[in-house]
Amino acid sequence: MILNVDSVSFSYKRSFPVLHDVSFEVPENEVVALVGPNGSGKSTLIKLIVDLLHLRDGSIRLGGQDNGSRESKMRSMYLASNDYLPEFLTGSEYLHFVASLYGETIDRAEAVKKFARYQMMGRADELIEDYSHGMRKKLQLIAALLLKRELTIIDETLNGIDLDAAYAFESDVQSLARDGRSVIVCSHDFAMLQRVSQRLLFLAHGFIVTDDSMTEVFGEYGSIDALVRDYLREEADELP
Amino acid sequence: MKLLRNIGIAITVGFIVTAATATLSMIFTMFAEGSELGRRLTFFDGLFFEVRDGANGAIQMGFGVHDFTPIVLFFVISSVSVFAFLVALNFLRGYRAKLIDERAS
Amino acid sequence: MSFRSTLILVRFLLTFINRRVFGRGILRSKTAKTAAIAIALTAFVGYGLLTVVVVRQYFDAEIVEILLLSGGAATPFWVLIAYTIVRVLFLKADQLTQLTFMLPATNRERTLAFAIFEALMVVGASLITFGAFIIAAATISGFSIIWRAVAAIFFPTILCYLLFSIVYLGVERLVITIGAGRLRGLIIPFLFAAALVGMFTLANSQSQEMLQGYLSGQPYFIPQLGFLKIADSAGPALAVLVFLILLLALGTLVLVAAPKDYEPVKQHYRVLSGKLASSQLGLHLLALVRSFETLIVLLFATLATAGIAILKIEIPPYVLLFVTFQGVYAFANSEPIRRATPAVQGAVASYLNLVTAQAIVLLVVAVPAVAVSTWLGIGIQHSALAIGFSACNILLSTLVGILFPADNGNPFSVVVGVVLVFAIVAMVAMGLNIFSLPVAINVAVVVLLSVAVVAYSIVGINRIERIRRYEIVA
Repeated sequence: MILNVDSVSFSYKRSFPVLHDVSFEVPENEVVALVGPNGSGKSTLIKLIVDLLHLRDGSIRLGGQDNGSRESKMRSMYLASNDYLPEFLTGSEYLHFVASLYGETIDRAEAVKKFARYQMMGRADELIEDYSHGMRKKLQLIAALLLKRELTIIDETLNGIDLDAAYAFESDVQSLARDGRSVIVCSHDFAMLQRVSQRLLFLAHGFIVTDDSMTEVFGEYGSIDALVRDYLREEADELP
Repeated sequence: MKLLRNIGIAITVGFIVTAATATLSMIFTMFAEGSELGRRLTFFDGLFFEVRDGANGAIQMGFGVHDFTPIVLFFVISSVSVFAFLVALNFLRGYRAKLIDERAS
Repeated sequence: MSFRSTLILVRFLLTFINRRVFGRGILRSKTAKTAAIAIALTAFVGYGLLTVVVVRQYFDAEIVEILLLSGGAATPFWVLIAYTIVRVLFLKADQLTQLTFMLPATNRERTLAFAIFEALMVVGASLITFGAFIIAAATISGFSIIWRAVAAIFFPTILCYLLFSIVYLGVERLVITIGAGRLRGLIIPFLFAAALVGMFTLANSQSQEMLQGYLSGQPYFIPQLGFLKIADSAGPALAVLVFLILLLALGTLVLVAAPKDYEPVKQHYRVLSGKLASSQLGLHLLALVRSFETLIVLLFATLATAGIAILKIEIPPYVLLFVTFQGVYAFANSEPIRRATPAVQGAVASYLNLVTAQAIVLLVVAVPAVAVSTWLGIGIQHSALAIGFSACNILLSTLVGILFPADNGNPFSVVVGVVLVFAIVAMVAMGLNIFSLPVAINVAVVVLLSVAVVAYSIVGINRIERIRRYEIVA
């Protein structure tokens, strides 16, 4: 297993828990779709996995090691939902900087190819300050695709990128989840998730509602959209 | 660790408060007491401010420490007060957290 | 053009200042906020008390009158200083300006809202500066002095502010027209510096003309004292009328001069090799040197050193202090470095990178500055002292940037920090002077205080990171 999340609970304020006893595993060579309504705890769960939030209850292990360890951090890569990047660097400098943090070097020819593939040809040596919102997202994706960590977590990074890049990503993410590597993709784009992922984690009110393979989801509901609608309908029925 | 941090804060704040109070009382004495010749004491008689005739007939002003004891005492009292305040604050914060925990459970 | 939208925007900006400046960093804690308010109030009451004591003890009605006239005559100079500070701060607050783009307001409404907001800040600052003096003067010259102060100081202040706005917006429009709009972060501070030199010369000659005229009874003409003249000769009503007409005219001109579209300011310039990005220290150095405000101070320091060499001015290289104030932005500017990967960097390492990067810049600037000073005959011990002061200033300004972080394009927090820290440092320096301790003890105290500054900075970074991870509650 690449990731083991065991009985994780979390609350920002003592009186308002965000995650309740969440447990799941991510095996090798899998793209996992993480879905859930706003405020369901998706981003909190991701931040806990990458140790951006302090874990109080439960345990999270990456490659069998504590998620706060240096080895775990070297194994994973997190693409945040915002586009907060060091604006004083150029695109290629950013890639080299991130690579150096992972103790790796960037293959320049490969980077040039990726820039071209994501419609950013000739923009690698411009300051990030001059990049559009979509270009910043693409740069984050390129970094993840070049550095190929054992676990890559993509938190709504795809919002704002153009269609060509989204299609390129769909095929690239499949090749990223090979050779013992896995990817967690958090998004509201259910159609894309259906095309790229093998498993679905559905989070609502801080509980894991569904943790099934995509084949099971298709068999029972027909689509992610139908599953979510079914859940929301049930929830609405329970309202007074 | 917390004790060390509180002592550090108390000493730094105590020093700043002493220096600031000494400066303010000196400035106030300089202006409030006018320019008559003589020596005036301020800051609990720890500092002096002096106006005297110079050799060339011009008025000379000087200031300095008259007695270190009140200054040191002031520094110690301010530091201890800040330390006591910090300890009380930590206690009240802990008590508040305990009450919130009790209510939550 | 809707004034309602303008007023809503002004309220939005005031809320921003209240929440983001007075509610961030160390001021997030109620205890710290109360302490800061108490320090500020004590300082103001002390200042007011001292002013009243001094004015009543040493001044008579004639001196009060001369001071009022001098204050009025100097208005354009100090308003230009205030305007420059506000403008430079707003150049850094590009994100705040961009926030207002989501709101349904035209660029003109936005410009007017910013003008009103800035004018409120300047009027507030002048009230604090002159308030105590005016109250003290009223106890000598009667309450008529309050009205005369309004005519002599406050009317010219507001109009000067609008006048500078028109010039600034005109220049901004011009640089946008010639295609250099994004570079205005570099161009405008230099124009203001040149204007300040010119204004200083003008203010000096006007003050002399006014003083000579007043003492000899000869007539003199200082435009900014026009309202006082009108009020004295034709009554306050006419002065108010003239003021309102000019206010309306200049206000309209501000709107006309405002560019129709907004162009973001270029915040970074590609200097130094990107290869530095492979190390944490190199990255911090890039974050520092590539930001436009560092480039401005580096250029200023270079020009000042060249000026000192050409004019052969024998002063120690205190020009170095220029570059050390960048510390106030160091922590906030390096935020993306800390967020770039999940790998958490320790507070000590973060702090060392922050100050070492600044020390490198300081040393690079120090080489020519010290060389020029030594060539002009300044002893090396004086230069060493200047470098020592600058190094201490790096530690202090970095602490200010940590306690009052200028995050998300909000450069105003640091102003509060700089004012508070400056007040404390001034008090400590004066205190040490009064205590007249031996040099060795003074040096030991300064070293100990610097150690405390370093310790608080590291504790500050550690705390911020732990709060971000919800390890502790803010």
